[in-house]
Amino acid sequence: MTALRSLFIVALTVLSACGGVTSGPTLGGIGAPPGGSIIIPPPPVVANTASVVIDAGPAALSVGPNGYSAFNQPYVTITVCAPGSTSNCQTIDHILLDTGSIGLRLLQPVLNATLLAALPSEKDTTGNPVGECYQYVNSFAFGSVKLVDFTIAGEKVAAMPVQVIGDTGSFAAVPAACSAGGGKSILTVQDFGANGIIGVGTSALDCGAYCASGGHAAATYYDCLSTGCAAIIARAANEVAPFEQLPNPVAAFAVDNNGTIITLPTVAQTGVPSLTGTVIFGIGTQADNALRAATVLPVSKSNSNLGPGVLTVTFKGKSLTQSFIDSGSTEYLFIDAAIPTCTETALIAFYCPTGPLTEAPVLIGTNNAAIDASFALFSPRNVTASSTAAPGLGVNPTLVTPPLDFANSFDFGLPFFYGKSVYTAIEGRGSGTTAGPFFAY
Amino acid sequence: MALSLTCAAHAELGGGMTPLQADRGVMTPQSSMTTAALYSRHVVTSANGGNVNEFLNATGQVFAVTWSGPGKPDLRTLLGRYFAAITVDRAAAMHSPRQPLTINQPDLKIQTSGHMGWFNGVALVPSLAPVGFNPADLTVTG
Repeated sequence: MTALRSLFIVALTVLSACGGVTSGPTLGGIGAPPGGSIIIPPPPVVANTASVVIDAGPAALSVGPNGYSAFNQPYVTITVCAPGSTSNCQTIDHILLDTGSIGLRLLQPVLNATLLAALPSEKDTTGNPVGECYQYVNSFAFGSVKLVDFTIAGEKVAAMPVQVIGDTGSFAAVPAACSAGGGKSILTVQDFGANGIIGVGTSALDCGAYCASGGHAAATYYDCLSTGCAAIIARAANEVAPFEQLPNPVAAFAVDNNGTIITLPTVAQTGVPSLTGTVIFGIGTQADNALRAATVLPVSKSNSNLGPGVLTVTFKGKSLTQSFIDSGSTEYLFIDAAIPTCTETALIAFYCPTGPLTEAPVLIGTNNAAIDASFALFSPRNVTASSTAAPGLGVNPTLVTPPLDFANSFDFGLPFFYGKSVYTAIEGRGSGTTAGPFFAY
Repeated sequence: MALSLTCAAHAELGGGMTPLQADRGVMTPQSSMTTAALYSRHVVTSANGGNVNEFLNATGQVFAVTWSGPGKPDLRTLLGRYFAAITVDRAAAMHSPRQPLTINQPDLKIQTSGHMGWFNGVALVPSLAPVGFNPADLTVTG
């Protein structure tokens, strides 16, 4: 640092010595004070970049007879503190970076007891703690809503609502209306494949307008008595006191709060044991995050009757109107009846093309902007056993025979992100002249 | 083909029509019944844009259900005795915690799909379906 700054000053001195060729300092600009020496302010701090790692997953994932290794899951490390504290904090690795959901959710067993005890519950209008049910496509997570001071890559949110999944005590019993959607109840790191999840999709809130009348969306909020959580509570999108919906943590930042740029390297077909990339916060807000994408694809808004964050994909003559770009999906998920799926039990539902095969979906934004999203579909049989990241893998999301042909989505999972910088812009937040929500790459 | 608006009611897979329970805080749902040659189709539309379609055979049994909306409907009620099939932990076997649920048993076909804030699915009991029923009729919208 010292050496670098010295070099910087020397270089400027040399430039200065070239003497008066360029225009002089402007009003309010940097000038040479009367003494003749030049005072250089430090460049603005650009602390908006976090590492993204794809590896075998959190330590707890591999423990015991049901242990397993993560695959194609992008993780970041975060820090959470008790509100107002700079010492009662915990740095938590292996938080899944998910462009397909909204909100920070942490597995209760991961949190240390001192921190957990100091986290206040978010309270509803009757003064009772708030609980939340959050639905994923094949599972659900129930737990308490707590307030934390949240930090990642220098970006901070004070007293941010987060979900503590699998919380104990009065939150231990999952409300019947939460489990009624089916799927697995997420309680542990092994259930989830991560220590938590940071949902940084295209919406600013995890429920939006749908919770205004009380529930019935991905997120549902509950009034929690000491005897348990039962009554669903309304929670309008614009309501901030005494409680608010879980925010997209990026949308809650003071700065760099309009979206993310996820950049991952290209990966060889056989895969790699681990991979490191970056997530930059903000789009067009700093020197390092200008929008340099070839194509901007606006997506549906949170009040859409197709759900938020979706675009259309044309594929094999069909228009798939609920397609999406999702770093939390481990493969491309789509239906191509012409490709055989693997016969090995361990590879159930994966496509097993005999050789690399070009699939040619076309992504179409809500403004009808279109981009060829062709990719080479590879067989998982060619991925080495030690790999935790591999490109071009596809999964058929239905094993039903004959296929019930209702599915109208093409899910661009993590393999789509390899070798790209993918921009995710948040609804209602401008990125220069381009309004969110959009994906771009 | 006949269309009639009915009071909100619904049935469960493999069963007959029953009164609709309060649906998780959603405003009053609207319900309609359409009768085709092979089956009747009962549609419940929620104020939040979600809908449930129930397909009834000639004896009034529900042989298929489809759903679509910003949240999952009460599948415990809609699927009745078949609900247990989608509570089994398949994530570990799939080594992927976030793949859609699929059930492919000889007499129970369930396929789900969805993303952040939008979920859809279809459940079919082939043995209860009318002879000649075309599974392509199992669309998710009313």
